[in-house]
Amino acid sequence: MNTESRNLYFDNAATSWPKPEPVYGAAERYLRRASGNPGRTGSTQTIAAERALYQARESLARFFNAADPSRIVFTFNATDALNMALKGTLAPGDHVLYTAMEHNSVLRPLGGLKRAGLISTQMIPCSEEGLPDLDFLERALRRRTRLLAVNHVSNICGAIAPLKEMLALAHRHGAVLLVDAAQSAGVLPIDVQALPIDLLAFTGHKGLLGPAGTGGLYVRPGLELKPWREGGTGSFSEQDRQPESMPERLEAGTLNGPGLAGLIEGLNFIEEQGLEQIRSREMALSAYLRAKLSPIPGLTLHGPAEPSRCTAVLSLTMAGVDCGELGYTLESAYGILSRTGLHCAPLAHRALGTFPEGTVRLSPGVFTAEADLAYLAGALAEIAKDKARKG
Amino acid sequence: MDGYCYLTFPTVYFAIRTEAVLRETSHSFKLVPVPRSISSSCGTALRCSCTDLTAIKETLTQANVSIENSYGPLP
Repeated sequence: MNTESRNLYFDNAATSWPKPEPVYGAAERYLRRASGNPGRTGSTQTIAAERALYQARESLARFFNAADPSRIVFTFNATDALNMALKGTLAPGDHVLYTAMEHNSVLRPLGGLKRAGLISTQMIPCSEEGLPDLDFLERALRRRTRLLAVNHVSNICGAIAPLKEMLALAHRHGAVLLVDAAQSAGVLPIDVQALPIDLLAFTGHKGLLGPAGTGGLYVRPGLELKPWREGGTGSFSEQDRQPESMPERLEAGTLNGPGLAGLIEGLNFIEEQGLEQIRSREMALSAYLRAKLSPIPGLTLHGPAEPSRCTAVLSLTMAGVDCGELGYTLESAYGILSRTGLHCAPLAHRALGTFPEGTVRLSPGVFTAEADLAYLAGALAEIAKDKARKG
Repeated sequence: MDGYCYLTFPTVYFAIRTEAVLRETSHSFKLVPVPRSISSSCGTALRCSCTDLTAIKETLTQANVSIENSYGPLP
């Protein structure tokens, strides 16, 4: 295979790349022209900065169909939003449920709260396809269960959690549903009115196609969180306490203006393309790749086989080949960039049966072409053949 | 009439929202730093002609913009 000058990026689940062209320009324009500190007095330049933030909030609210944009709180990524959600909601004595597919961004904050003796937790097991056991969930919900944390889409195998059913169960027992949309925002439609999610944590730099350092937390009206970070907001400056109004209640310190300016353009790109179209194209590409990979001897694909039950994120292992070595060969010999190992989700790998070795994760993005997937499948077939020959 | 009238807002979000709402109307207005003689929870205020004040307030209220206070005319 001719691999010269190839650089095929299959790590969009880590961060999407490239970004739509206007994303770069918007971040630069903000830095050059609008860099007053938003919310801090009303100079012309500051108002220009504030306008960008306003627009980002409006765009995100429209994107997730949130009726009130002030319920969208800017954070620096999904991890930040998840910490804000968990630490702002939970109180001593609370019981928390989470699924085996959760990322360390949920597992570690919960572990910390549990070790401090503040909360008790219980894991909802998942199948080898990465789907949660709903019967177990129903039995595990109790009177003290304050919150159920669900990873909407597995960052390892793309399995889509049945949010509707999980939300119904959580609400029936008076628990709050926290959705980790790190992998799903910009990939699957999310409508916080059609599906009344209580807390939605998302990042800007993956499916939403914006720069790193952007993200947010949607907080359902009527649910008031304890501020997780406190400080300057440019409002109520005479008080030594965080303002109660949203979003200032949860936002303090200088926000990532250039990043959010870029994020607006990422959202615009998705709206222009149409999320439904992006999703259908992704399912088609995913089915194509799976069909190409399935016949390769020694190759195992992990997660749901049915494209409607997963996103395009795909994890695989090759019999007798260490996943780190496979990732290295893909990059060094074929110019294919993947991500190998445990992907910060150790429990998910246990459920999928790939712990502790991990997998090679391949995540196509909106700019991936069918030809790229054909090349990828060809590379894996060649490596497998080579392995079979050498034994 | 000498001087301008001012509207203040509970948060800067509403101040900027004001701009988006009023751009659709023929009212002239400007977002300015809150004058020192006014106390406000947000540092940005809307400055307008006092003859337009009532109409602007009505437009903003209809658009669900929270107004903290109105002032004027100030020199």
